[in-house]
Amino acid sequence: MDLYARIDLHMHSSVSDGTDSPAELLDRVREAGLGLFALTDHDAVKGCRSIRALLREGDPAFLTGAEFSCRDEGGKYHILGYGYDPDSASMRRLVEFGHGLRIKKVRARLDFLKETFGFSFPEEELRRLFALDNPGKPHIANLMVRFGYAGSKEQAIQQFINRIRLRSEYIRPEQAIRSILDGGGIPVLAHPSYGDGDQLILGDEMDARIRRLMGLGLQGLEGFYSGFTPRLRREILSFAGRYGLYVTAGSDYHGKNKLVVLGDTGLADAAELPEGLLRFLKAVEDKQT
Amino acid sequence: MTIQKAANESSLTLSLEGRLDATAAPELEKALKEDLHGVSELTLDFENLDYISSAGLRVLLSAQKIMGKQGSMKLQHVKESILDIFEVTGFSDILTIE
Repeated sequence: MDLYARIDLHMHSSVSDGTDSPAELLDRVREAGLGLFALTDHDAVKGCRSIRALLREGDPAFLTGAEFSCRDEGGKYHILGYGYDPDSASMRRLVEFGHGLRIKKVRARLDFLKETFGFSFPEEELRRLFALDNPGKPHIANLMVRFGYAGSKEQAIQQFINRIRLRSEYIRPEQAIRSILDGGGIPVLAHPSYGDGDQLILGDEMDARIRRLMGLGLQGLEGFYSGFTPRLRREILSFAGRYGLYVTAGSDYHGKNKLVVLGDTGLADAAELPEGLLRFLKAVEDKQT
Repeated sequence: MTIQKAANESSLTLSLEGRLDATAAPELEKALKEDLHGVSELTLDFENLDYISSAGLRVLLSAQKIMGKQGSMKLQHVKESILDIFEVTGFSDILTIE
């Protein structure tokens, strides 16, 4: 297990909303001395293909990953997928579906900005925007700043882009979980206490959520997370132990965008690797041999 | 949310007003990224902060980790409703709250 002395299974590249390209991210991973890492771009697997092609002998062990934003009648969730085959038909379909939803949202937001505020952009800029791997609010905000419609990216999002409430379609959790499983991967609930990233779910509500997702095929919980206090971590590890779920560890590093440090998962505080994490690592090893 | 900055040599005070949610958290994160260099005492004044979501909590934890290495961080004038959130999440165990 020395190989896995330092683990980070949750990070983003410029393929989604991170600032490091996959090649730059790999350099950072090498510098950070990680033993095992996974790239988990939002609704995308392209960066994983890039990393695989860049890996050389002596590099940290790499695991394919992705983070899918899901929603159903029960709420919002981020579902991580690990160790899947990026070329599997199920994962290709899921990624294409997720990308299609993003494109629809971008179109709706641009229409809103034009109709409500009169903001418009040259065709060439829009072509570039739609050609991005994962276009979203930050990219529209950057355009607005460049064309003088907002003083900062944050102002563009807060004062203009967020004024539209989209009744969007979403990836359903069962759709993400089934696709990950069919692609040979392991579905894991990301930062469980924080829901889709801005919720707070604790106690009985957390219990009900985990049991419902387990019914859909969920296999693990992100128990070690850079944004968790020891108390939140204990709660998630307790649920993982109670239900025999895998445990993963991730920082949610986004590069220059955020203060989060690559490799900061809280795992360094653990006296020993929890049983659920050891089982996860074994399952991953079995997939790769 | 609005952020007022007051810097004095190696001390920095950020006074937050409004709601620290997913929309506002990147703004605080950006302010911290820009201004924490060389700061050994960081004070976050929450007197006019009405709400904090988990996106805000995560930024606080990141700031606490950075300041734990280069100095100290404290929160002032925290409202009861926010103290309750700190309590149930365990943030009250790791933050210095005056």
